[in-house]
Amino acid sequence: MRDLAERALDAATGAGAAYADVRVAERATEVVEVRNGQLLGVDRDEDEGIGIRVLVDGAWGFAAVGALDGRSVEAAALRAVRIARASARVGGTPVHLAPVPVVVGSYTTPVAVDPFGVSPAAKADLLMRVDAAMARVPAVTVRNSSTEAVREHRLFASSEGSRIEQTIIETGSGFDATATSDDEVQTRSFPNSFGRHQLCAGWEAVEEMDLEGNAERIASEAVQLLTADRCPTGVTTLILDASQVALQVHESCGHPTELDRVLGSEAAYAGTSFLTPDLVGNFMYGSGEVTIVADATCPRGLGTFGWDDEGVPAQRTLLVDRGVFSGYLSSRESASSLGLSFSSGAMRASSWARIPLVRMTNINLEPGTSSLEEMIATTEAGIYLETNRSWSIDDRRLNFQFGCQLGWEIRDGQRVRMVRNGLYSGTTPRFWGSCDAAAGPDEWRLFGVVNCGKGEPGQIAHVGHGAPPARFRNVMVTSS
Amino acid sequence: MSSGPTRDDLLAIAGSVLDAVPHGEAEVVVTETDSALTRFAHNAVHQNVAESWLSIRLRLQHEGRVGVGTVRGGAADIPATVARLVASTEGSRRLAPVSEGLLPVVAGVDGSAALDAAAAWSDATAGCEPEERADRVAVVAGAAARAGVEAYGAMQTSATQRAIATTAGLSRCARTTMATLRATVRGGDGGGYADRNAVDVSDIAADEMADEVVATTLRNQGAEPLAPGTYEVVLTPYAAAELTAWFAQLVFNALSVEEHRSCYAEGRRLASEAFSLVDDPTEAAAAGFPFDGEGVTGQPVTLLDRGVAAGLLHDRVTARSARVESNGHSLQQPNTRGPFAGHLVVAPGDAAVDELVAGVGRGLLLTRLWYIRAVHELHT
Repeated sequence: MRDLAERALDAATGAGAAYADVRVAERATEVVEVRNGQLLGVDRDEDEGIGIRVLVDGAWGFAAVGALDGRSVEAAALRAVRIARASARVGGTPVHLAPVPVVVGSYTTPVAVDPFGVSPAAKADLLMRVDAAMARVPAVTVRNSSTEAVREHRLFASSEGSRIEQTIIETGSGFDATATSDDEVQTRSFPNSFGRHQLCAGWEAVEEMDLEGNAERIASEAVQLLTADRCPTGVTTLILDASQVALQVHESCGHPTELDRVLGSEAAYAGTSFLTPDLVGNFMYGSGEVTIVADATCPRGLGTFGWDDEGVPAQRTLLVDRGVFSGYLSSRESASSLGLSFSSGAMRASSWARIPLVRMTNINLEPGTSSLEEMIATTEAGIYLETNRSWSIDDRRLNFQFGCQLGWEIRDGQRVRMVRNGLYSGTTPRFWGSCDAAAGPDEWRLFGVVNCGKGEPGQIAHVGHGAPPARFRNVMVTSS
Repeated sequence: MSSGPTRDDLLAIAGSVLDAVPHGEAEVVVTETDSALTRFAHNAVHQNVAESWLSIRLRLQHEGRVGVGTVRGGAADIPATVARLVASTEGSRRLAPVSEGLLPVVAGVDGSAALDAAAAWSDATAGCEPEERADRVAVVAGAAARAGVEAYGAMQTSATQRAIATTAGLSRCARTTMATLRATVRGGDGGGYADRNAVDVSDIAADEMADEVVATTLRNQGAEPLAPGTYEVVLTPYAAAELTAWFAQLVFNALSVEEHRSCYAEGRRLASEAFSLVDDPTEAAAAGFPFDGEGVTGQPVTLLDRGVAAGLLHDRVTARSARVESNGHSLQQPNTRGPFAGHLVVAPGDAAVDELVAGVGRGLLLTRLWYIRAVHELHT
């Protein structure tokens, strides 16, 4: 890897690149899936290649190749330089990069149990037991469960002298149960929406999930939802479970604080942001209960690493400080554009074949001082919603609507009836401004989102969110 | 653009994988792609990328156990890559529990060679250089700048070859290219959108597209707020295409129907008589491969006939359940998503957009939609 990286850098700088960086990566993935009692297969993937990014005449070029030999790598470097020169034909403001210390270092995800050391047979056996537990509930028609293990060994090298090796390990699992009737479809999933929860951790993370212990309960809830009353409509108090709060944070805080979006880079695809630079330090994003941080050092977070894909050290950045909008996720280029002296270390590429983009790391709502049960007990009338079912938000991340799998109507501090198809909508700062309580550290959970899309060509990022259950007042709630 | 492996090279790689398989049935897919994208914002190129890689996917089944393996990269030493892939996949297979009811891999298909050779390909697209992409971007950016607005978007060209072969005698290889130019243009009050897609990059008329999207943007300036309510809506082809794609995947996937997660029922009216929809891989303008993820030739399927549900997309798994033949809409197996729609065609009517607009007393002309989501599988 090192030799190839050096050859790429030499070829790029020799051809006129003022700056170049290289990522060489080898990734192994193993997925085991079970559906309706059948093992779909044990799927092992290997992915290796090199991506070379260059700055020539103030413009970017990038070329990636899946052949790790000297000739192919040098050809890719020259291709990147040619592409950069082509960029300059329709050039804008020349690119400047905020400085970063030159680093020689390494990082490995700490794990207790290597997920690749657990045999596929053992993983399949776990999933079959989970499936059997769901199958004990007669009206469940579709049962899915899966595990995933990922290990990526990557080398970053820059023409500035940084040389960083990292081994990132991820482990995930989850299941969902779908029940159907003539006019209803209800799905419940665990531990997160869309069937999987993932962390930068080892197999111990799966063991902690207690999938088998929750399977029959979750499947039963899917069936109960078929005949539950529809969620009532009205402006009311809304309490969200930790997983839905995590998704709310993702969509309405994580994305609008990506500085490249703010500066227009994603206007043609992922959108822009309502959090314009003039609002930093003086805009009330939320109530005093709301402090949100971007933390790439958070243990086990899916967005945790040693250095980002520009060689910037992992760090913690305050995005919202007791309700006040305070900062951005940034890159060396975007930070420089805003006159900031350093990047917040949020440049991440989904693979060696893609350029790094400003992505979320772990975007966490800090815990409060309450508890879920206390928030329910002190709510006269309201709705409690769990686990995301659908999500939609405008291209500036301002107006949104989310649907959840399971709901409970609250009256006089008690859950009084299960409700289905709950939807809530709002405007981001008004919604977060209505947050009057969040549960404490004991109920704060770290979730992994494995399907965050951005960029052209498209990239799917794995990002983390820590959140507790939280309560919001005067929210429009209805049902689909 | 790189001079990559030839059709014979891909088939030879596939053959070497099958030769190395120790026992049982096997399906191998070899894909080679070279793709480049020039992205722009604020009337200037801000990202400009290219990627080139080879991948080999092996599905192995023997004595009821299935293993799947993929290697992407490794093109520097194909024999070693093949050996590693076969060993890893066989290792997965041996450790997997027995699955019931596995379908055999697809056998050889008579007449497929001619079909595969005729797949949509353009040397111009495959050989498109970064300067050519940049020049098309310059046309759009220049038009926007002259109009006092800003353009954002991408110019992309790609060339992909794919070979699929099985131990049952299937051996197919096809190649396809695609060129796309798309732009969102923004003014002070509102914006516009346009795109052009073609197998041959020479058919991408950047100036015509630029004129369209700038005109849409300028027309949308000075917009006023509109009260929520019920309105007649005219959808441009861009918006109609997005909605149709979502609708098709939600409703006409045979797995969703089998599992009662779709509102489909044959003969049920799902749309007005003005709306007919087919998925037609053989349609002249359709790009892509003539075979699906299992190597079955894609067949045209009438999904909606004048608004009435008329057909479903099948792969071999759903076809077996429904006791019909696959119509060639499979993703790679195994998967949990079911069959997919890849070549949707809405039957044209006989009115121009302006005529449709002229027929609306008070309503909306929507150029494009954003963040389409189904809030309920049956009632959306």
